[in-house]
Amino acid sequence: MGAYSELVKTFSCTRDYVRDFFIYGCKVREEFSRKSTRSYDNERRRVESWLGKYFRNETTKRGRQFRVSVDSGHIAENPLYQAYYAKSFTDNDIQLHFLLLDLLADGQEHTVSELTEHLYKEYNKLFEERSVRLKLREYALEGLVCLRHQGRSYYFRLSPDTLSGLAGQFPGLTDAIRFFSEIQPFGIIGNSILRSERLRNKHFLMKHNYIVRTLEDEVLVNILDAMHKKCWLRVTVFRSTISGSDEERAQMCLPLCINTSSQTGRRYLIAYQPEFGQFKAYRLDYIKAADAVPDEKCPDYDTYAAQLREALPHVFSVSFGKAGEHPEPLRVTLHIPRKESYVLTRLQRECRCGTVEQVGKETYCVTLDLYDPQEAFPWIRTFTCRILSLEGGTEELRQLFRDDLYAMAQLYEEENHDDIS
Amino acid sequence: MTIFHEIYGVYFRIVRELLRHKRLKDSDVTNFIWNEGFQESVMFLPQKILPPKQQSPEEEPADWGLFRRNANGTISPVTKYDPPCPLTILQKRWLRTRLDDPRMGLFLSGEEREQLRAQLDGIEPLYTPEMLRFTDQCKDGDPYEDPQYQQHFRDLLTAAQNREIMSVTYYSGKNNVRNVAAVPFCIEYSEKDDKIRVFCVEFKGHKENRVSVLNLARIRSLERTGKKYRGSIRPQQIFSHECKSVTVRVTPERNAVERFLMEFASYRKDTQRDAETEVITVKFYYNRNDETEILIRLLSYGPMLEILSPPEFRAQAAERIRRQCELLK
Repeated sequence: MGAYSELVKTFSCTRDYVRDFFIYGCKVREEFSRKSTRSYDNERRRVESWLGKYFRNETTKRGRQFRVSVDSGHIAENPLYQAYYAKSFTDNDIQLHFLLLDLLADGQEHTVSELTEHLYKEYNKLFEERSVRLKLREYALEGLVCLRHQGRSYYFRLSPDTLSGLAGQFPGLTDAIRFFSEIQPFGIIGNSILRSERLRNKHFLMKHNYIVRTLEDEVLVNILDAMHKKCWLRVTVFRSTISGSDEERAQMCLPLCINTSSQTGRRYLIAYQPEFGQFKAYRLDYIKAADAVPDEKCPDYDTYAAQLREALPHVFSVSFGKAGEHPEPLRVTLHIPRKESYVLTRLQRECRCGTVEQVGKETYCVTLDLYDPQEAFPWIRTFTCRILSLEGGTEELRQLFRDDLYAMAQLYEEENHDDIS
Repeated sequence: MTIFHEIYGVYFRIVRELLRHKRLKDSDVTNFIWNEGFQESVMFLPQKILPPKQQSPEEEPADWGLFRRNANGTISPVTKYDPPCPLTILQKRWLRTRLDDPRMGLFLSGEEREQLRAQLDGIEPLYTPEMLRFTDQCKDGDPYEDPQYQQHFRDLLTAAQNREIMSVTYYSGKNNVRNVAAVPFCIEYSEKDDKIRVFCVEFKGHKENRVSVLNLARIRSLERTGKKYRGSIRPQQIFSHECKSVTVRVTPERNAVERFLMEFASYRKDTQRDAETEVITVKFYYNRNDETEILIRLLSYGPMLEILSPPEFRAQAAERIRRQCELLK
C-alpha cells in the first residue's frame, strides 16, 4: 500500500491528534509538539480521511489550523468511533479471517490440520499450519470461535452467538444497542455490533454528549480489569496543555473507581497513591497507557476501597485536599423568591454531597463539608445574583471569591455604570 | 481482547459486505468503498479486492484472493457462505454490562432480561455499577423502572419509527395539563440531567404547528391515533433553526482555557488563540432553549471568562453580576 496508509498499528499516538483537533481546534502545525513516531502531516491526513465532513480548516495569521467540528448533541453516531475502525493488518490476517470463517460456517468442529488442508484445496491458499493455529487461537480468545480440547487435539468451531440470533429472541435488543451505542463508556462496542449488521442509530440523540471520551476507552478497559482483579496498575501519564505536553511519567497506583463529570466532560481514575499515602485523581485523557500488574494483587484492596467510600462524601469533584487535612464546612446562603421555585429545584438536584435547608421565608442554606472547598466555587457561581453570604473555609478563600466577583464586575463595567468597588 | 482490532475495522466490514454478493461489477466495488469507507479508502482498497483482469502467471497477485474474475468481467467471491459474524467476547461483555443498567428496562421486559442474562451466563461484565460514578449528575433522574414510563418510551419510539401521530396528555413545566397531537421524531437522553426528552412536531387541527420537546417523565398518558404523518421531518434543519451563537474570551489563569474547551467540546465552535497571551476567543452555537443553562455555565468561570457578544446575552451576565455585587456589599 506504499509508505502512507490510512490505517494505523497502534491507537495511542493517533488518539492524541484526534483529541487535539477536536478539543482545541486552534493549533497550527508547529504547536503539535507531542512525541510521535509519525509526522504531523500523515496524522492530519489520516484524521481527515476518517472524519471527512467533520474536519475543517482555515488559514490564520499563525498558519493553517485544522479542527474537528461537531455539534455533539445533534448527531446520531459519534464520528470519533472511526478512529477505532482503522487498525492495520497483514494480507494473511484478512485472508485467514474470511477463508477460515467460511470453512467453519458449516457449524462443524475442525482441527487445525483439516482447516489448513481445506484452505489449500478449496481456495488454493497455502498457509503454514502454525499460522492457522495462531489465528484460530487468537480468534478463540476474541470469541469468534469456540475451542474444544480432547487429548492432544484441539477442535475449533464457529461461535453460534450472533446479533440476529439474539434479536430474534429479544425484539427490543436492537433498539437497546442503538441507544447504548451512543452512551459512554464503551459505546464504541455497541456501535461495532450495529455496524457488523449494517444497522445504524437514527432516533436517539445525546445531550451534553462528550464524544471525545470514547478515545479513553482503550485504556479504560485495562483500568477496569485491574480494579476487577484488585491489583496494582502501572499508569503512564502526561499533562496535556494547549501549547504542548510535559514529559511522560510512569506511576504505580491502586485503581479504586472512575469518576465522571457529566457537566465538565472530564473522567478521572481515583486511585490510592502509595508514594504520597493518599488518594489521587488521574484524568483519563492524560493517561497514555495503563497496564494491570497481575502478579501484584493488593491484599488490602477492600480496606482502601472502604476508606475511599468514607472520603467521597467530602469530595465535591476529585480533590482530596492535602494529606492529613480534614473536611472544611462551607455554607452558602441563597435568596430564592417563591416565584422562582425552579431555582430551588436546581439547587436540590445539583448540590451533590451537600445538604439544603430553608433558613428564611425565601432564603436557603446549602452546607458542604469538603476537603477542598474551592472546588465548589464554579458551581456556587452558577447562582450569581442570588448569593447572600459565603461562610466557612479560610478567610483567604472567601476573599478570593469576593475578588473574583469584583473582577467579573469590572469586565462588564460598561454595562453596569454603578460603581461597585 | 481489545476494541482496537482489525476484525471490527472498516476494511474488514467492507469486504464482509461485498462477499455477500454473488456477482459484482468493478464499479459496484468502488462505489461501495466510496460510500462505506474512509475518505481515502478508494485509493487503497479496490486493488486489494479486485482480481486483475489479465495477469501473467509469474506475476504475484496484488489482491487478497477473496474474489475471482468471471469470464464476463464481473467478480464473485471465492467463499461458499455469507460471511458469518459472531459476537465477540468483548461485545458479549458489553451486552452483559448493559443488562444491569436500569435503562435496559426501556427495551426489554424483566423476564427477557433474565433470559438474556442466563444466555450470557459465564460472561463477565466490563464493569460493575460501583466501579463508575458520576460526581455531578442531577439527583432527580427519570424513573426508568416505572412500568408506565417504560411503556410510554416504547410507544413513542415505535411512533417515531413509524411516523405515527400520537395524542399526548402532558404536564408542562408549570404543572399545567396540556393535550397535544404530535409526531415524535427523535429521543434525546441527557447524561447530566439523567432524563429523556422527546422531540415532536405538534399539530393544531390538521396543520403542523411547532416543534416541541416533551420530558418523558411528565407525560401522563399517550394514545395512538393510527394516523401516519406523511410530511417530511428534517431534524438537522430543525435543530439549525433553533441555533444561537455566543462569543466568549477565556484567559489561561487556573487552567481555564483547557477546562473551557473540554467542557464546551460538545458544541460546534470556532476557536481563535493568541499564541503570546494564550487567550482564546471562541464562538460556539447552542440551542436557544438552553440559553439560561449556557449563561450560568459561563458565569461559573468567574473572571477568567468574558462574554463578548451578542450584546443582549452579555447584558444578562452583566445584570446578574451587578445584582450579586449589591447583595455582597
